[in-house]
Amino acid sequence: MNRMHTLAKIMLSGVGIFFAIRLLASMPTLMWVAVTEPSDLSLPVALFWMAFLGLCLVALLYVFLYRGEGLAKRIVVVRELAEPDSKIQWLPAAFRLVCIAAGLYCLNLVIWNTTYILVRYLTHLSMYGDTPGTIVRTARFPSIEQVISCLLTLAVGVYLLGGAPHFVRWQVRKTLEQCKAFEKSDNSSR
Amino acid sequence: MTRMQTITKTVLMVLGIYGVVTLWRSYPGQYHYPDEAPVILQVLCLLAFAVLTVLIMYLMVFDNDSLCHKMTGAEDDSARAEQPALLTKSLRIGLVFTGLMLLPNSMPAMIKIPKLFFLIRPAVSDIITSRDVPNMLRLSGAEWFRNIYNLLKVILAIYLVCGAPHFVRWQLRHSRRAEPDEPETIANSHATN
Repeated sequence: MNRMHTLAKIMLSGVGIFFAIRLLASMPTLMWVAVTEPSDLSLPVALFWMAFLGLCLVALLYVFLYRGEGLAKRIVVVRELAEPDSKIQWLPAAFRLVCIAAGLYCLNLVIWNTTYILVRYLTHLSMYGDTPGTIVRTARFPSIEQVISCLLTLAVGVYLLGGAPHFVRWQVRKTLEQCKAFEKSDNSSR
Repeated sequence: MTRMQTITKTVLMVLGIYGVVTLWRSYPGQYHYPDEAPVILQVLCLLAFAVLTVLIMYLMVFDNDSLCHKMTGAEDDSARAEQPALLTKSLRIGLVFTGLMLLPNSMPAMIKIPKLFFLIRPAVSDIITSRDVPNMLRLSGAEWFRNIYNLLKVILAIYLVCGAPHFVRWQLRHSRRAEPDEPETIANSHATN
């Protein structure tokens, strides 16, 4: 198994563990709904779903954690990649990648929230025949907090998508300082 | 510790922290009218979530070596990472990423925090003059839970975006202690014997 296979196996195991946590978290919710709102979900149905989710959990852990090796070999078909040039400063590049990914997530959230607000607004307009001013005054929608939160997320998202140069520089400096401090303390303790 | 084990450790920690946050987000007490649910169900549910949290934190954050070995499998020992610097860097990158992913979801709660400063004064004067609980504190159990959860999430997100320096330092010391002696050290000790 080469390094790429090991990486793929780590990622597959990570995905398996993440979804296992999500499945585990939904089990008590089913029981809760069955007891508090039996008209929505009866107890036998909840028990059936819990058993089904339990089976899914076992299958998920088996496939991703115990049989991850075979799956990784199927996913990664390339041989070992060449070592990257050690002269490349990978730390700032990694921080920039992280920032860009987070920026994309922020913008995704902004689009989602804006669509939600617009759909609710249009529903109010068409169903109740309210004027835009009335909706804001009486239904208090969209609230000032929602608007500010959306604008802030948009600003943060754009900054992060731009690579967040100040933040990356600050993080790299702090990381290198921490590495040096740990090395120093490690050497003095030996 | 090999390079792959370092990456695995980081992945496990990131997943552990993010997993605990998402776990409590789906706590049914905050959506499904906790006051109507029987007390035994509330206690059992809280207990189940607490046990899951402890398990996740223990297996994925504090003592993740066994899971780490299972995920990486048998590896060539010559691939040992030269310095603990790699762990520091990868941990910080992972934790900053987790913080940045939590941050946009915590934005509405963040905006509410400055608003609290304006509400505290009238609330305190309400308590002093009427000796009664002010309206802003008259919240249901679900609302209290949501507010506390959001506040903790904001604090966690900010701490992670700052790179979680104390946590990284603690992890480095912990992994250094857990690591077996390096080959040269073992060879030296044999030579002196």
